[in-house]
Formats: sequence, structure tokens, C-alpha cells
Amino acid sequence: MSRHLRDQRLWSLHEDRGTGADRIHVEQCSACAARYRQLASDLKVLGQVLREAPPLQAAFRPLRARQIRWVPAVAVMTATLLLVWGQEWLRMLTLPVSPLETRKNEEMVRFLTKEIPLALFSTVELNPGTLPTHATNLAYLQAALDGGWPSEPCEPSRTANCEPDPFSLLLEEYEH
Amino acid sequence: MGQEQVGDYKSVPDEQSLYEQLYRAHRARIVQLCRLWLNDPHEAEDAAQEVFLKLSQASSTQDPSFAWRAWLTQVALNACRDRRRSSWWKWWREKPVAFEEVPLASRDPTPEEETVSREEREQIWRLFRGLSVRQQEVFALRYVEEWSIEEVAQTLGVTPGSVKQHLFRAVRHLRKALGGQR
Repeated sequence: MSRHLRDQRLWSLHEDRGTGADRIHVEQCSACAARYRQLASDLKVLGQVLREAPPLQAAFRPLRARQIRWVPAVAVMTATLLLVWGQEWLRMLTLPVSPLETRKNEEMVRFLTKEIPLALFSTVELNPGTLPTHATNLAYLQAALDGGWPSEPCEPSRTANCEPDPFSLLLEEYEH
Repeated sequence: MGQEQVGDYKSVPDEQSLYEQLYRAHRARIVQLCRLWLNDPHEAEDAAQEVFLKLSQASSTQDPSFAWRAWLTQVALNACRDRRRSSWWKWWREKPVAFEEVPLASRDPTPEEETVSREEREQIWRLFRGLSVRQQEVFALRYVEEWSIEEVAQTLGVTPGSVKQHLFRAVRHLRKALGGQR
């Protein structure tokens, strides 16, 4: 025998609906005969088991089946959310910008690129000409380096230690 | 239809006795069929009660020689269909309920029962539950009730070709799934 019978033809034979050629084939082919016997045995067992009371465990609907019921719902919901979000995102991308908004943006860019660096990094204040005169006084700087920090230079009417000259004070009272 | 013994109820003296005889003879079978076709054991019991309520009404009008076995099977099939249709939403959200493992008729296990392990029986029931409703109906009528394909087709109102198609698909599915075990 070059070709074995397909399952459907074997089953048809079992249901007394096979052809004479199929029956002869099963009688002569040991492999198909074994398959036929197995089919008959399986059907007998299936019928017998289903005539009995269902076993305890089998009465439960399989958990997997209950989970699978929710999978399509969750998948559809997720797909819908993604679709809505994607559409919104695309709409935002393709939305034409209004002239007012463009002008505001340009002003903001100009402020960020020109005004802020000018304010932050301006070197105008470092010009020595604008510094206080006492800051350029070498003696003053020297005094600072020596540890002291005289707040004001000495007036002419004071002594070398910046104390008031008593004679000059008497002279001023006399003149007034 | 399938092992109907026409003359069994001819000697029944009155309709009450006929009903009782039919009830005793067929109740376990009808409950079992309802269990096959419904997922809920309580629904199955209710459907079987409904079937015998109809029997109590019909037994008073029908001849005792009537093909009661086939009639009861047909009524059970319709009752299960009605319950499935009316309770689809309940089925959708229900929690699974365990059947009570009580044999419907006390008897010694057959040689087939002894050779089939408990795990295998559970597997077969689970796989049967996975079949489509039509496949369950066809399979139960053909291999549990042992009706012919023509009788099944007539009862379900479909062509024999359609019955064969559903039957073969069901058999193939069950055998393929059980292939590793049997």
C-alpha cells in the first residue's frame, strides 16, 4: 500500500460511511488497521467518560478560558487609547501656529539670546574708569593687604594715625 | 431513536405510573445530558426538572408507546438551549461552580472506567467544554446517546453533511488534544 487513509476517511469508515476500497485498504494495511482500532477505542472511551458524572476538577471552567475572555476587551481598549493618543499627537504636530504665538515665540527667543547674556555677562562694570577712586588708591590696597581696611582716607586735619589734631581744632574754634 | 424500546411502557395502567416509570428510567440520563450541555450544575438540575414538568403534562395526552426517550432528549436539548440563550450575560460574569461528584446511578465501574484514569477523565471533560455548542450537541447525541447521524440531523434541523462536519471536527479536536495521553 502506497498511501494510508486520512483521518477523515478512517472516521467515515467507522461511521459506516466509507467506501469499499477504504474498507479493503484497512483490512490489508496494518498501519491503517491499527489507526482504525485506536479511533474506535478513543470514541468508545470518550462516550463512556461523558456518560459518567463529571469529575470535580473538570467541572470548573478552566481559569485560562476565563482569562482569555478579558484579553480581547483589554486589547481593544488599549488599541483604542493608543489610536486616540496617536491621533491627538499627530494633530498637535500638524496644527498651524498662529501669528500671535509666532511673535511671542520670537520675542522670547530674542530675550533669551540677547537680553539675558547682556545682563549676566556684561563687562562694563569692570572698566577701571568707573570704579571708585579709593579702589584704585595703591595705599588703600596696601592697607587692605596688611590686614586693615580703613573705611575712609585720612583728612588733612588728622595726624598720621588718623587722630584729630588738637591744635587745628582749637584754631578752628578761634576762627569761628 | 437510539435504543428506544417502544413496547416498554405499554402495560402501564395509568398516566401517573407512566410518568413515574419514565422519570425513574430517564432522569439520570437527562440530568447527565443537561450537565453536558450546560456549564452550571444547578442550571442542569433546573433544566432537567423543566423537562420532567413537560413530561408530566405530555404523558397524559400521548400514547404510552410514544418514542419517549427521543422526545425527552429533544426537550432536554431545547431546554438547555433556552437556558444558554437567556443566561448569556450571567455566563459572562459568573464564577465557576463545582459539580458535586455524585454518581447518578450506583453501579460497579465498567472496564473502560477502570482503564481511564481520573486525570484523563478530567481532561476529557475539560476538552468537551472547549468544543463549540453545536459540536457539543452533535457529539453528545451521536456518541453518548448513540443516535445515528440522520437522527441527529433531524433533531437539530440541519443536514447530515453538517452533522458529519461538526462531528469530525469535534473528534479530531478531542483526539488531538488527548494524543499525548492516549
